Amino acid sequence: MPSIETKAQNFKILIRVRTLCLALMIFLLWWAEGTETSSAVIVGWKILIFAGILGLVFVVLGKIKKITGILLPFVLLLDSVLVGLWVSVSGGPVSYYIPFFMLTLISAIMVLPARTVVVVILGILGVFIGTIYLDFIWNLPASFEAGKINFISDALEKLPPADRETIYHQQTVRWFFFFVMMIATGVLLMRQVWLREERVRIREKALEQKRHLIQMGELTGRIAHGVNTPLGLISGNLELLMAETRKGSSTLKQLTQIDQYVQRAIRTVRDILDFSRQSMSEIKPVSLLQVIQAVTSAVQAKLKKVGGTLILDVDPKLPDVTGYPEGLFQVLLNLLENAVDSIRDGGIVTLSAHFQYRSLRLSAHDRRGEIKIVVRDTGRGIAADELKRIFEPFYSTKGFGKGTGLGLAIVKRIVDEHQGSIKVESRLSEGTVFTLLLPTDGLAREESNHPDDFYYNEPITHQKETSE
Amino acid sequence: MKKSSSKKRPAAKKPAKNPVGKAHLLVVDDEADFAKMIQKTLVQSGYRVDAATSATQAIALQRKHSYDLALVDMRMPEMTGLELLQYLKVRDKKIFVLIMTAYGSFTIGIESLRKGASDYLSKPFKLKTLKDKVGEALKRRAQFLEEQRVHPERATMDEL
Repeated sequence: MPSIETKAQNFKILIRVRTLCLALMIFLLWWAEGTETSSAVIVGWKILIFAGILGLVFVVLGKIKKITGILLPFVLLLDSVLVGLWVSVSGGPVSYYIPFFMLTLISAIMVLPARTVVVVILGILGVFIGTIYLDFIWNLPASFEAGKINFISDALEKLPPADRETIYHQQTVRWFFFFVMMIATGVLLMRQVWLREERVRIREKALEQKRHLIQMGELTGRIAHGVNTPLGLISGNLELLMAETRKGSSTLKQLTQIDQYVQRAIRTVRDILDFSRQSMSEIKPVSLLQVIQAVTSAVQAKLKKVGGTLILDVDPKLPDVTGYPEGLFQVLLNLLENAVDSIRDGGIVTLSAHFQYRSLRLSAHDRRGEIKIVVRDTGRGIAADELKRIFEPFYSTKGFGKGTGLGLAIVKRIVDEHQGSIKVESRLSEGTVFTLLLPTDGLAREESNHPDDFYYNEPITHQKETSE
Repeated sequence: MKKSSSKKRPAAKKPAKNPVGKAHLLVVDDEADFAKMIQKTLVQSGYRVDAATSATQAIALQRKHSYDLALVDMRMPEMTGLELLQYLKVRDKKIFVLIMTAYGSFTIGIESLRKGASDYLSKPFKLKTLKDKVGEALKRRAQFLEEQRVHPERATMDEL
């Protein structure tokens, strides 16, 4: 199956061919009949030719500079209007319009999801049938016989007034039919093309950003590594020293203080490293089950300290998510750690993850969905004015020195990178709910992909440790 | 500290009795001070600990002794921690390995677990965490050896 980019490219070529055809046809019409008609008709055709040339300019532009997502729909709209105009002033048979419809149809098939294609085909069929009905069932006069190009004015002059009225009527109906259909098709295609171009552009931008971040990441990675090793040595030796120091002595107090500062430095370096590292790993299908398992085991120690309960409500049939495993791990870890931090003894943290179809679908065949992850805690909650700023970098509610204020900023960034969304609701002293939506191309699995089915959703409860 | 160990038989024939108390550990880190610090900590916890500052040294040490558990740094000049891990495992299937990494990253963690490490520690870590993880790894090793003794055909390292 060709990629979206190839499809969009093919579509662009078809659009150019279509515009070119239109311009040629208009030219032929003018060449065949131009000299013998009234001045008003000639003016009309001049306008059409001008429009056709404009279409050609677009084609040329498209060759020199890529027609971008914004221009392309306008080209499409333009030639829809041209076809409408042409139909309105000429009285030729249906076969004249077929090339346009075929091109529209082919380009539609190339870019549209199945359901929309069906809509377009039905619409075009409707127009064909309608036109054939008008042309053949209504017994048009002989001057409108197939294969001849007729100008309305020429033909009408030779007709009796009653017939003329009928022709006017039919012509208006036909004109209306075609014009509306072309605009509708144009708008439909426009929306699709725009959506796809937008997606391609987002991807290109992300790639660009990624390249930049890789350089950044290498730099920060090196710095962090250089700082981490001495920090590790300092903190380790400090711990050894503290163990040797007599309890209650002032030396121990001072050492404890040093240790606190060292721990803060370690946390800061780790957060900065996390913040810069996300895009370094490659994009691949990630098993969220694996990530959730790793995260739950990573927060065990903290949970134990607080004496809280973790309830897992995870669908074992979760499809994979395309993204950075590292990043997704970080997101869930930060959210869970925040939740555990906010609860007191006996508090409950709930992590649920389920698959759902996207609420906004392109068509009924659009089976893609998203994974909804909810992290809920019964902790102290966040005030409304703080809630607004919660995803800002370096904004922390944990108090000076306790948090770097990067945790949720990291979460937001990673979620954005996965084209997901995150929402937070909170009530003071009642708790906080983070709702995370991650798009996935995969469908819910038929079978659980985890051999042990470890998510039997049993609460993991810890009694508060009395002594540490 | 390591006088009697050279007479030991290879690990394959060593019985699995009380492995926690007498556990023989190997610390490998190119940062000599770091290796020494970990050695000191673990000696304080009652383990026998050898330290190596390079992969070659670690391999040489493994020829002479049989270790229960090796703590291996991820980033070293001669070979990565994962390569050393595989090397150690080839020579002694019963050795358990903890990977220490300064890029405390989930993927490296998963990668090392996949390659057969029993756990990983991201630097900088608390020495208490280190002790906990070492204790836990040794406990699991004891279980593993017991399992292997009872069902020798069933237990392999991959299942742990």
